[in-house]
Amino acid sequence: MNGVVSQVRLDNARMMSYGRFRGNLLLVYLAPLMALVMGLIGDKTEETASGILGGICGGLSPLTIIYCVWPFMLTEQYGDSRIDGMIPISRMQQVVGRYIMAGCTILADAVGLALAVPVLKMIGSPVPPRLWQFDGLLLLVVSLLVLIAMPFFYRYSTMTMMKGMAIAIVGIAVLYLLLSRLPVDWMHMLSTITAFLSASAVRTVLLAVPIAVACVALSILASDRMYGSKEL
Amino acid sequence: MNDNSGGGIQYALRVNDVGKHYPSDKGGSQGRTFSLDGVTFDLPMGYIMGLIGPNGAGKSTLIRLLLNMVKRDQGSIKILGMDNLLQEEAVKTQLGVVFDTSYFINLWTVDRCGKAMAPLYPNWSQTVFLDYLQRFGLDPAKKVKELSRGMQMKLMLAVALSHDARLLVLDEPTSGLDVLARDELMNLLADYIADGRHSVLFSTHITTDLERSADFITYINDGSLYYTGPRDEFEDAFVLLHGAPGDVSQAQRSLALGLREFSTGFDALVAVEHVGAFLAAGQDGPTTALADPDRYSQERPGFDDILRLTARRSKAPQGNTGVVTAAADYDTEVEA
Repeated sequence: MNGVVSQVRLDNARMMSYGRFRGNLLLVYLAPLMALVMGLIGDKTEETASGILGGICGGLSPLTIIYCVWPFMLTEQYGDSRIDGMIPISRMQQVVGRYIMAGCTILADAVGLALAVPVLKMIGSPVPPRLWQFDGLLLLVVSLLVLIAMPFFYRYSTMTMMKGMAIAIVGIAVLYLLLSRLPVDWMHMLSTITAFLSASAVRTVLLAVPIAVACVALSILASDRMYGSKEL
Repeated sequence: MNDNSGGGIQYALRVNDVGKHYPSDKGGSQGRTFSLDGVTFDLPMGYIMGLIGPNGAGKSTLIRLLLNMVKRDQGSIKILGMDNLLQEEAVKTQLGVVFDTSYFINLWTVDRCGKAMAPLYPNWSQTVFLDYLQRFGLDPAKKVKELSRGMQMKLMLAVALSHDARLLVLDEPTSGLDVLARDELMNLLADYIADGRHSVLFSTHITTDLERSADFITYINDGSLYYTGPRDEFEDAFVLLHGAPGDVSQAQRSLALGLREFSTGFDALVAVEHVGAFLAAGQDGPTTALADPDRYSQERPGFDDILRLTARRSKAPQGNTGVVTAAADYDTEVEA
């Protein structure tokens, strides 16, 4: 456990390379700041508030994903992967520590989004309905993307990953086009699943949490496999 | 002389039959495969060992194997009595590592480097770290990218020495340093092992560093172990012979561990026990060389001579008018 904590601290030190207020803290204060600025400029209607929060989520989500994989980029940029080989932290602990750091980053995003709501209320803007469901779904998507991408970041360079993600986005678009041809209402199905999972807190805990834990565990195991065979 | 008490540990490092093979797509230049073959050596506690060899010999690969940064294909490694795989974390808490280039993020300040490394080592002493910063003249507020190469090396050294590491591993720490900086580093290493509880392994291709401070030498060439043992015995194990151009017979070529021919003569490196046979195997017959003691001049070779004459060389570039021919490849290992 000490090794995991040490790894979290090391990654935090890496992320503060550009300054304390440009690390995870940025995600916490950026959303309320954007809500304040955009809320003061725009109309005080539900539609405007929805647009503002949609814009904030749309802006913060890619930033959150980038922050989750930022330690990899910093390591590659400054050539300090050798530090990962000489420190007294096993590779598995390094992987777990980095996942915890990514979890903290996503948590910072969630906190930031949550803080944006009282800011909108404070300036007299109405809060859109089903806001928490929308935020929850978005955070789920961000988390899934991070869980899928992280094992590959342990194996491939950032440039290779960027190319891969570009191809993946094109692939997703193609998949979406293909799926849209099928006589199935996917969005309705997704909404139904989300509504079912979030209908009650008990149901969410009993169903969604084990699934989430399993996804995280699979991702960590994949990362450990990729990282374990890598030469530093 | 160290009393080798070492806190009950006799050997700081025991490497036994360690090997690593790289296939041609990952290996050395020109698509060759590279193999580190069956390297075995011991570093007693309280001493300094120099790991020498030409560029591409496998020194850095060996160090990375010690640190488990690279998976070994065979053999075993024990550091301070512990297996470097099974007890990796315990081993690394007692290792201090210095590489040829800085491993810190360039944007970190010197102070930040210490703060980042401190939580990783249970025996970290901030007081010792700050003392070393002062001793080395490192400004805590300066960023790593603003430090010179020598200062970056000193920063790595300050970190390595601040958690009571029992074994210092330095991978070409003096490359790019000036004479004064290298001298300072060697003095520091000598002080470090003085209590007999610490040891140093450093790799270098700058042989003057070894002459200054190494107690033991491990010489690796093209992935193979050529020699391991006391430094004095390394130099005493060979004789460097010089002779007139072309005055070397086929029999003498087979006795030489390394041979370089020039337009002005030749240099031959011969094992001490084979010198007599070499002199007797002259071109004019067995008695001529012995009858003419001035025919070949002999001297004790330095490290540079041994490395120069035993290193495998690529062919001379086109248009080179100098008559420099490499000897046939010899795989003879020198017995320690």
